[in-house]
Amino acid sequence: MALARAYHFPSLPAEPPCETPAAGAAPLWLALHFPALALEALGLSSQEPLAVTEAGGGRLLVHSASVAAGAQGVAPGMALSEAQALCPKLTAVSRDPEAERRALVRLAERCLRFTPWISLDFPATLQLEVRGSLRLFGGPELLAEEARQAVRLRSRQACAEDGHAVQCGLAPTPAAAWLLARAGFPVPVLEAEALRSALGDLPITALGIDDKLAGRLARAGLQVLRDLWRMPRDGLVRRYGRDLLRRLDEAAGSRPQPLRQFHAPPRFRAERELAMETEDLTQVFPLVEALLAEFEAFLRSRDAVATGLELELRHARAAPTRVCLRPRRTGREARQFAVLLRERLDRAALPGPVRGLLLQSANIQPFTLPMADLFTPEAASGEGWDELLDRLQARLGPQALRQPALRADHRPERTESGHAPRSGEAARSPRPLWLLPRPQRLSGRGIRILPECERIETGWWDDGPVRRDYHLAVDGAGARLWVYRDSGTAGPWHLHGLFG
Amino acid sequence: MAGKTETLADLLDRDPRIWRGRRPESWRAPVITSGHAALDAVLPGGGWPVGALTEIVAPAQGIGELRLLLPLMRRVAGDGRRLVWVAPPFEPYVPALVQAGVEIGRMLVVAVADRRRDLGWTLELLLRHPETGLVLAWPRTLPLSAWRRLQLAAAESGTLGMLFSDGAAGDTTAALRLSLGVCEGGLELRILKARGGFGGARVRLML
Repeated sequence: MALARAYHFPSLPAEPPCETPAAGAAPLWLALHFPALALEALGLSSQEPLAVTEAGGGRLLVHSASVAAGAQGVAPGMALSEAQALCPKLTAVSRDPEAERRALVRLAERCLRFTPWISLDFPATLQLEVRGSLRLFGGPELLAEEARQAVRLRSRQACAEDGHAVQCGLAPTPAAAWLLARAGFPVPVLEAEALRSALGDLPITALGIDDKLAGRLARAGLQVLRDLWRMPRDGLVRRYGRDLLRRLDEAAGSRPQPLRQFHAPPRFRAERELAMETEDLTQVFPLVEALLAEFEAFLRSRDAVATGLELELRHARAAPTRVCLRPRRTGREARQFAVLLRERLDRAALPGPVRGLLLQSANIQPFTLPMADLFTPEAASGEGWDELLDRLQARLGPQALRQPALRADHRPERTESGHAPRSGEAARSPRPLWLLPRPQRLSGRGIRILPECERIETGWWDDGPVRRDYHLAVDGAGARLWVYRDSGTAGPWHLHGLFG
Repeated sequence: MAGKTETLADLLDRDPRIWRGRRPESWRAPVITSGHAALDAVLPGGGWPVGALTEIVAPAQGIGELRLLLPLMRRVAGDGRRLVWVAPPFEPYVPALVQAGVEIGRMLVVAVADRRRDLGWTLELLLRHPETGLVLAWPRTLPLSAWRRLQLAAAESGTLGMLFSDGAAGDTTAALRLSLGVCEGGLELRILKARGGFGGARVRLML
């Protein structure tokens, strides 16, 4: 039986303080910049004419363009209408910052083997502090190359052409590394003293300043960073504002730039392979319990709880069977998870014999003591109500449980929802204890409709207007019914409830 | 042998499960008032049996079977215990329950799609849970062995189980078995069987 694990768990995600790493040695930053991240995060192919758009100044602007679109002249910063004029077949997709962030976090997890100190503070860029890792990886060039290889592939299955475009920059300050990476500058700068000369030839626009300021600088004849360094500092501040000088100083290293450290979210992952394939779940379950025990130990050692987990049963000739648990209450006890998993596995239809197991969980949180409730004494021993609900839900399905509550609407079919009732909201006229989920056309023998009538007329402001006359009725079996027909018509009667 | 001699009556009194004919005072199992004085008068012990199953045989839905239980629902939910509806034939309508004064905050409705496979399991789990106060269930059919298991589960936790049936299954092991009928202005109840008492009593309730 082979056992493999991969724990990525530097620490629980606390609010990371702003700090600079490596108090002793001068830091060295490797910036990995992903120029096409906006496209790649959306899973789009670079071979199609595509543009990712972003709203700016009341217009849609091109944020990044695919290779095919770029070949036809579409460039970032262009208005979408202009881009479409250049490239009639252009497909525009709006930007998804959340997906970009997720992609960046995945990439950061891969880079944790180069250094524990990673920051995501720069747009579409990973900043790795690598001074301490240089020797291990055989120098800056080899390290940069290995990091580039590590982040190039989008996922393990993806083929090479489907990779991330990445540009590296290596410099003693994060801002300089970022400038070098964006400029595609392959020469590493190792010492702070060399920064000014290395960056001097970069255009001022690379600092990421706005177009208006860039225009003013260009009109003054200032093109590259070296031109700015030659100017008197107080004059620069007076003319172009403090922000420009700040960016310049951060790049040159004369002003520290604090970054937030990235903490990988904690994650558990453990696999087992079975000695022989089996369809008998009673043989599989002890292994599941062993994995759960390992999970519990993992959580306890970190004083954490899981809000969910995923069990994968692997088969030889079929896609794996996945069981996801999302219990109502966070937990870490193997016993509690085992009960729920057993319930789910009993129901699962296996496509074939099981050959291996994988248990993983990414939804891990720090443990907090549950708030004690004064007025509802929890069962002293045995499972609590929430666990009971979890067990019911695991076996009966997610739609099986309902906790009714009131909502203010006069339409009977809309009176229930997840909101608490306001006082005095219950109707004054008699209401039936049973309600049919959908009113039915009334049929049956010997139904007597009583004359008392209640008109319900409401809902004209939304899509479900209702104008009905409700009556009591008695059927042949003696049941008391709640029936209606549309007001002022001799239309058909509908059965809507029973007075249980 | 020294000491007091035990009489047969003492021996019999020691175990309340032994039925002693028309001696209702010997029945000491806990009950909860039904909220209908006329019904309490004919129920052994003077109320619904607690920690036991009651089978209610109703010929149709909507004749007053829920109104009969409203006082019990109010009491159980008011005590802070859970009120669970299992596989009801229609939706319990919340405004009507609120109108009737039932606290709905601790109410749960459980739908059971595969009755044959899951209903007995669901009922047992709910009846056994100490937080459950009252389980209302509509099992169409339930094997006799399931009735015994459920009876034990209810006894363990002191839960009331009210099971509605059509009476087709014949005798069950419920502690109390009664049938409902429609009469002018109300409901006619007939006690078919009662642990610790005699069946056959009839009572009319104006609901």
